[in-house]
Amino acid sequence: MNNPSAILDDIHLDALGELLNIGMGAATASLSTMVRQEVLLSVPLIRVLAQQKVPRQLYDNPPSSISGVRQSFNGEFSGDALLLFTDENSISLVRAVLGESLPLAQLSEMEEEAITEIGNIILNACISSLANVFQEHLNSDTPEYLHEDLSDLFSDGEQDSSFVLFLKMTFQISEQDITGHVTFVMDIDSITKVRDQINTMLGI
Amino acid sequence: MQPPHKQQLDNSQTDIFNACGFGIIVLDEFSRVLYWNNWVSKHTQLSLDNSKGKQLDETFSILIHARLLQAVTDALEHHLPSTLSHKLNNRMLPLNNKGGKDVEHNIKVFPLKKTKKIYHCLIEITDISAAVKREKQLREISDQMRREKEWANVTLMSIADAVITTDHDGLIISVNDKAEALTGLTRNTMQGEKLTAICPIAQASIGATAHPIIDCLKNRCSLTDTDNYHFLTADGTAYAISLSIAPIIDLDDSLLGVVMTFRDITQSRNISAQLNWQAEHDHLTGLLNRRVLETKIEEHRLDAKNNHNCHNLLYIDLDQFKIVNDTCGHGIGDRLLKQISNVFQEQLRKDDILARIGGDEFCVLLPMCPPENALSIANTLRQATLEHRFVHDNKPYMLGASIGLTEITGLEKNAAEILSAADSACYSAKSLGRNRVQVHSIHDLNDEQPQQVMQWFSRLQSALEEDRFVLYAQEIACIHGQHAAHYEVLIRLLDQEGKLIPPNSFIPAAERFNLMQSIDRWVLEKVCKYFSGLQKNNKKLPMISINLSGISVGDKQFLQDTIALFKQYNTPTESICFEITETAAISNLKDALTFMTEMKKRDCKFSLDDFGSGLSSFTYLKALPVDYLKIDGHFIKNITSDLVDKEFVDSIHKIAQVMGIKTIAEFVENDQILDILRNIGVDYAQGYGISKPTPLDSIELQ
Repeated sequence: MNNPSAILDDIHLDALGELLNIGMGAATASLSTMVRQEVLLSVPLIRVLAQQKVPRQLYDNPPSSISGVRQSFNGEFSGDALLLFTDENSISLVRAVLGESLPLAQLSEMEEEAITEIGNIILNACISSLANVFQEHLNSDTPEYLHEDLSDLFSDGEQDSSFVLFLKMTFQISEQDITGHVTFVMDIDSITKVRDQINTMLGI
Repeated sequence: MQPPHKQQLDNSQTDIFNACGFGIIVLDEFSRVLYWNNWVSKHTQLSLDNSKGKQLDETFSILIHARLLQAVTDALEHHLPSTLSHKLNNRMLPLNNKGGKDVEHNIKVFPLKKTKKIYHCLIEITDISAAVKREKQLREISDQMRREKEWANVTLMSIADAVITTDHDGLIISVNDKAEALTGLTRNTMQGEKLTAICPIAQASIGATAHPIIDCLKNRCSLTDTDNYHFLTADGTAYAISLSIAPIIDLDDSLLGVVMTFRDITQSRNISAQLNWQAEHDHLTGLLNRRVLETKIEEHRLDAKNNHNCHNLLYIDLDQFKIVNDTCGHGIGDRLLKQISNVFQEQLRKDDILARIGGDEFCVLLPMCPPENALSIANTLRQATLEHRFVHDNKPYMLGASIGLTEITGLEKNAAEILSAADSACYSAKSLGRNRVQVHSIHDLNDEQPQQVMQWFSRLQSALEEDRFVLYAQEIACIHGQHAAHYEVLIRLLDQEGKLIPPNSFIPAAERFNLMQSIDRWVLEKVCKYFSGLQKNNKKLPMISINLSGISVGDKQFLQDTIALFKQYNTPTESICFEITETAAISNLKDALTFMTEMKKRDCKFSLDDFGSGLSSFTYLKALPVDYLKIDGHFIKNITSDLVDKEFVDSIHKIAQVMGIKTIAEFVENDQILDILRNIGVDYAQGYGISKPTPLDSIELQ
């Protein structure tokens, strides 16, 4: 594997995009119910790239810190599923979901729990759609709330494993101007396995 | 329906689960209750035995939450864990505590792998009632704090004082808008910096000093509204501030920091300085005013008394200033006063004190100055005034100064007495013909003590009432051959002791007290009566010259009175000649012309008095319908020895001749003078050399 980014060709990328779309479709439906507003979904962007490049893929001007939910999974392939918001957006999301109007400086413990649940719903939908299609068991850890430096989140040395399968889907709660990103971070091994699964699925 | 799993937990496991402080429910692959721990029994008031094998929604039929069922499905079918938060899912399970109150709870659902294909599910229930309550309180407190902070912040920002707070090391924490404005630095630049470096302060009286905040940090000393400080800005300027500094002390008596507030008091200080200045100075010329002068005089009086130092005071009254003021306007008059102030100032020594004490009245206090030097300074000022050329509208104006000089001996009672002495000396200077310096002397007959000046008012009034004026007449003789008799009437006051008082003693007072019209009217009536008497006796009528003051000439009422008197006494108006000074005529040219025109209609004559002493403007001469020109006596007196005077008289006469005006020379004291005048061609002569004034009634007429 001279060029990690060439592990997946267009067929794989298209297939993954389709899979993710199915999962996200279900997830945004749940989210839409929760916020009682329309939730718009972007076209998935899928790439294999170095971890440290992720922040720039997510934001034109990456914020220093980021809020979100992490759900690790393992099984045939493993990785982290992430739902990411800017700090401001995470607060806006809570307000939208809870119907609160007071401006918040930061999230309380209970509100972090609420964000975690939202992330859990979306990420479960994505993970299960992958698992369903691959007919594989993926074990998932419980979702955890995260609030850390964006650069810390995507830095993992300079080995092969620092390459990730970067799946980005953006959803937008129209009235609130809240944007979230779903990202899967997998190492080269897992990416290779995903490719094999896709090949199997498509009968290549 | 599948049979429930026979799988049982052993005792040690159930003991562990029952010891847990949270709820545990285990469901089998068909979401049937396999087990729950005591915590669940306790909070649901349901026994495990009754519920075992039942579906979860069967057990909690009413309140079971759809989200929970979804999570169970996710766990059993997709083997995915779920988190169900209290915030998003209210009352997922019907849980109560002992008191019957709802138990707020979070739920986590985990898949439990039994075989490769079979998954059970673990539901973990956490009581978060306490956390919810705590969060609610915290949010309330933080909301309140936020509001209070906002409140305090807005207050801080909107107050007019600069407010800067520091931590206990004196590092700046907060800065309000006003502090930014006063320091000229931004909040971001200041925060975290040493206050002593950012806000250098000097004590106004001492200069560089330890920053008061140091003492406050060290000893917790406060300062309140202290005005004695200057703020030193970065660009090196300093401005006066009112400074307050206070330590901020925590409940446990530890020092949290310091708050420093200050405001710029430069303006108020400037205003008070300005007010002080205004209180002490004449606003027009910037010279000291009368009040301050009196203080200075008093200081020097005490010095003279105690230390026998010699000081002098000059009292200056500008001659002819009124003309400028009246003809050119007050604005121009003010300009002239400023110029004259400068003229005076230039002549004075550094320590001399120049003050303006009235309209055209100035005083000069000459400290440490012997009388003879003071006299010389006074003459310098007089000369400088005379030489000052003031031109307005292409017309030159000449001023003079009447100066009274008095020595401060220390024997005077107070400053007012010294000022009065100088004033009366000045008054004498004016009485004696203006443009001169008069030294005050207690024995000076011409000098009137102020009290006496004040007495003049009542003396003049009673003299008018009691008819105690008398008219004298002095002949105006024709130099070339015979001519009809011509006299100038001169007024004398007969005091209560029967003593005759010359006009120069009371005319200035009459002018001052606005009694000139009454006196002029008295004279006029007297002359009218005199003519009336002459007519009855069929005497040949002489020409009578009557002096009129400027005030009378310009007074419309006086004009009416004059016409009425002429009518009443059937006066031969062609025998009346009014003598007015150039100054009087020009001061109020328009009204003077009205008077003259009215009188001219009645064939009255006019004579311009003291010509040559004032403006001597031939321009005005052309405008005034005068018949006689009286050449000022000062030119006549020395005409025998002074060629310039002679030439002057000669030229006046020539011009008068061209204009068809007869000339009269005053002060003709002897025949030599008369000879010269005759040679020049002057028409008339008057003076002791011709004849002395005699009572009007005693004139021998043919």
